Amino acid sequence: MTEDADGPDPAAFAADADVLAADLFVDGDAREALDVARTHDWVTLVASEPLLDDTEAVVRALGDDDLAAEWRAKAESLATLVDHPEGDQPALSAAVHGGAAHVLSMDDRLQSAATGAALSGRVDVSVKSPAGFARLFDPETLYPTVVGGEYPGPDRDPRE
Amino acid sequence: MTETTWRDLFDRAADHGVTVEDVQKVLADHRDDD
Repeated sequence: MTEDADGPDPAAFAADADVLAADLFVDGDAREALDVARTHDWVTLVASEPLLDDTEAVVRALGDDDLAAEWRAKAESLATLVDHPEGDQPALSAAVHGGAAHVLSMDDRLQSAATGAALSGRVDVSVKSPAGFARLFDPETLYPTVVGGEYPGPDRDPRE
Repeated sequence: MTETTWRDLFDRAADHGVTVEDVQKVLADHRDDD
């Protein structure tokens, strides 16, 4: 694990492939959650090659090859990529190895798996739905702790 | 070459009419195949 003694970064999160693909295709909770990273350069989206591979496969299946390739390039420019062991649940492992505090998923089974791992002390991440994350993540409250000073508001155009 | 914007990607993706349920099913099938 790469997280330091202070624990995982509260301004870093991983999103599972269902959330990443829903962000692209559906204008709803997933997009609102990912907009947190797109609008703030101090908020880190953590991902891994296997996680992007899964998402790219979904985008190719539901969209087309060009959309999948361009989504991949854009996602790589937004995310911080980390390595993790082959066979791990990619979103959970990317969060753990990237020192992120949150995992976004729409899969209840991942929530249960992460809760079990957390109870056994193996991981220190919280799995949230995109809606829950968007509702609970408050940049204005977090900024003084993570960056310091008064929250200046969003610093990036989330659609660029 | 101009970099693709998120706005452009979202506009093109919307043309496919995909739902959250579609995403979940395709991802589940993809991971089951691995």
